[in-house]
Amino acid sequence: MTGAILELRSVGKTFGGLRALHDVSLAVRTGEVVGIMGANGAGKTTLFTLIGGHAAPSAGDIVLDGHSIVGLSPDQICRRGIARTFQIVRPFHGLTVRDNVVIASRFGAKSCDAATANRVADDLLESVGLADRSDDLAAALTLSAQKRLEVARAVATAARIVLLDEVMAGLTPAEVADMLVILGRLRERHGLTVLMIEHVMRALMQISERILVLHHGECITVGPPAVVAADERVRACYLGNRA
Amino acid sequence: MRWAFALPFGIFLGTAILVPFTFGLYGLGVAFQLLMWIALTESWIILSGMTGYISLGHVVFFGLGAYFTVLTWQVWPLYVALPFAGVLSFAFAIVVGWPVLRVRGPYFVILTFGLAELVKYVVIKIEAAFGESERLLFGVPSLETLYWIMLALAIAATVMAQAARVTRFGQGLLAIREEEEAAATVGVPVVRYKILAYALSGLIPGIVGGVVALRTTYFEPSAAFDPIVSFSVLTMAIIGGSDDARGPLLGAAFFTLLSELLWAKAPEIYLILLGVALIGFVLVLPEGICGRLFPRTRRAQ
Amino acid sequence: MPNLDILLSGQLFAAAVVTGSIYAMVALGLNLVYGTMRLINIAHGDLLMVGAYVAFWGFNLFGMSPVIAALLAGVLTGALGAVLYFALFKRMLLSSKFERRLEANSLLIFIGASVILQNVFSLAFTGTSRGYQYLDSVIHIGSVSITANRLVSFILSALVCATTLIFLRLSVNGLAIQALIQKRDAAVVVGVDVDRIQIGSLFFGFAVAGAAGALVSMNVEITPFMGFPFTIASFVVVILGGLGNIFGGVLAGFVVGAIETYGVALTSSGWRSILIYAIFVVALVVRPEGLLTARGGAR
Repeated sequence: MTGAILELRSVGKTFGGLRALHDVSLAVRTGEVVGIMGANGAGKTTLFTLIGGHAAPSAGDIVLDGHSIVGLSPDQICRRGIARTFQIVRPFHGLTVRDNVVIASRFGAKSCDAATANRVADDLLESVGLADRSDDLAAALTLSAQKRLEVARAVATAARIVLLDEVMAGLTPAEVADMLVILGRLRERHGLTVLMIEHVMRALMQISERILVLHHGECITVGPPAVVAADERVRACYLGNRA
Repeated sequence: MRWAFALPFGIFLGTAILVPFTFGLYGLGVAFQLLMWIALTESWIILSGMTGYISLGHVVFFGLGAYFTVLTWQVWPLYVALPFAGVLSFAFAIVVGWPVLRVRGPYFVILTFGLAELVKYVVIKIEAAFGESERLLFGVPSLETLYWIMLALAIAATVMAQAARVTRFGQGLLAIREEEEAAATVGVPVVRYKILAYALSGLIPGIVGGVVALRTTYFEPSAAFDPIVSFSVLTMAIIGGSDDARGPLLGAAFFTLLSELLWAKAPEIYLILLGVALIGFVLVLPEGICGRLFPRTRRAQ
Repeated sequence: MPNLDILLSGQLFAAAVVTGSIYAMVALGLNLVYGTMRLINIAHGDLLMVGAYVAFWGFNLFGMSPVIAALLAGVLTGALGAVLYFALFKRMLLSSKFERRLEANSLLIFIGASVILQNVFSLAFTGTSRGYQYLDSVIHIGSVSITANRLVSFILSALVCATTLIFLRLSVNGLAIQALIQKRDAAVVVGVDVDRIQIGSLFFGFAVAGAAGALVSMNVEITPFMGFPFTIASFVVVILGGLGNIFGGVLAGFVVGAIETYGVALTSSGWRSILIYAIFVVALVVRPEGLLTARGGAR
């Protein structure tokens, strides 16, 4: 499909007896923001695990720029331009905030020298509002700050596609609003394509161009937020959930 | 490089150079021991300090280097055999590195221990097949010559440890230590770097093993692969600080001094003190003396 | 290469079973401590050494039967475990600073403890190997000849293993232990008295090692450094049986005993260490992934 930077083709994943994903297909266009929603255990994070190369799909294919990336290691996938954040944040605890981002910049898709990496890092930290905490240890940050650090780190890899895994979880409404602004800004400046797992519906509906709905590992529907919100099947799965 | 940082190195280097001219043969022997522990411990922190993969099997490189040197004694000239001993250890690490470094945390610790013991018993078997139980070397270089070689090795190991820290490679290792999965996600070639760090950590100890074999003029597998060596290196690094190239200097100095006081009369007491020190520092000061004196809240450069 | 007669003989089988029962018993203690508290006790074999010395001096000074000594040794090493718990581990398990690196830190502590134990005993009793004769009359069962002390070792260790397994299966406390091993957080939530279980497991785990030492002392040379091979063997057993899987550990104990006995018979005693350490290394490298890590199949 033309214009598709990332394609999932009938991706399936089985862990022992558990079927986590089944026949999930998606074509992501360059620059698009695709939201991913589903109940817990629906297979959302598994999808990121597969795209990120932490595990291989049991069935189907994952295609980036027309080439399959199945079987590549996570660092190879990063160098091809896909970065991710983690549901439970994983900053480099014992290193400074700046170093967290510098390392990503030095090793990412466009590994640069120390000087450039520092500039990139300072720039990104400015964008996410952590410039004043540059020299603090990552372990000392609040959750909201750590989440922003994860985003900065992912973007620092010069990735073209960023996978955000529940980046709003645990944030106050004010922090959620902040994060939306930051994400919008970063997306524009760096021309990012974003896949975003979220439970915070308001944020997801606001920022996504399309939403993929997963249920028990299968895709129920894919479409613009308004359409998805009105979809009967989605309503049935999320009984009582207001979009 | 700031003055405060370079000073301990300067002091050690200056003292080390003066030793052969000021102290007698006994003093030279003690200094030789100290330099040996520095070389072994500095190389240990390249893997274990920087990636957090704590090895309790460091002696395997030492033993392999010693064995190789002994086998090629008077067959190959020393200036070929010794570097080759290092290369052999390096190669060994590359070969076993991939399976071994898949194992994490405390399992890695006991795995490295088991690996060293396995190699020890294999060498014992090989020696038995050769009909040898211990080997004696004749016509070895003088202690003073070996001292200068050991000094060079200690310097090399320290430079390696420090260089590892300031390079991009070192930053990658630190990222692996902090969060291995996340490190891969930002592009650090985790598997490659771990194996490289492991191999680099074995390079110098291989040569050190050869030099020590020459010094003692004696090779016996159980002595060359003695797990107490691994234990001592680990303890010295933890006490001195494994996150800083100055740490091993402190740790080695302290324990060489201690062993000088105790080893001849009561080696058990020396080891008991090592054990107590290890437990004490793990509980109270896991970052080591250097970690406490020189905390790292600044840039990783 | 020994002939088939010897390989298939009841004699060799009996030797394998006796060795296996000791390994099963020693591994039992290791498994329990690891399963409930995630502590990797690399000093486990040294506890066995302590038990061996208790039996030796008990026999030499008081004419104490090693069977009684096993009880005494068990109490002593068990008490050591309790002391360790209150002095060290209770605090460590609670403090969040340590929790993250609990496994690694506790291992380092046990390494230090191992060196201390070995050298304290070496200092106290010198490195000369000790031994004594007790119940060494030979008993004949069918075509198998076995010394009485080995038979007694087997019976007692089998008894301890069986009792423990039954206890874990049937008693409330046993179920609580299993719960703690399998799903720690859940066990805490349903009201399992974690503190009591942990100290009980630590006491029992250490005690069993000491008791095994007393039993083993009837047949082997007693030195301050005799513990090592037992530590490694019990680790092999625990890894093969599955960490925290008590029943699997008992089974694996007999398997390892068989491998060692038959392996040595097929080759020579010089290969024993190579065999054990090779299995140790391979088992650790290949060990079931996802058993305790949260990776679930991901690499």
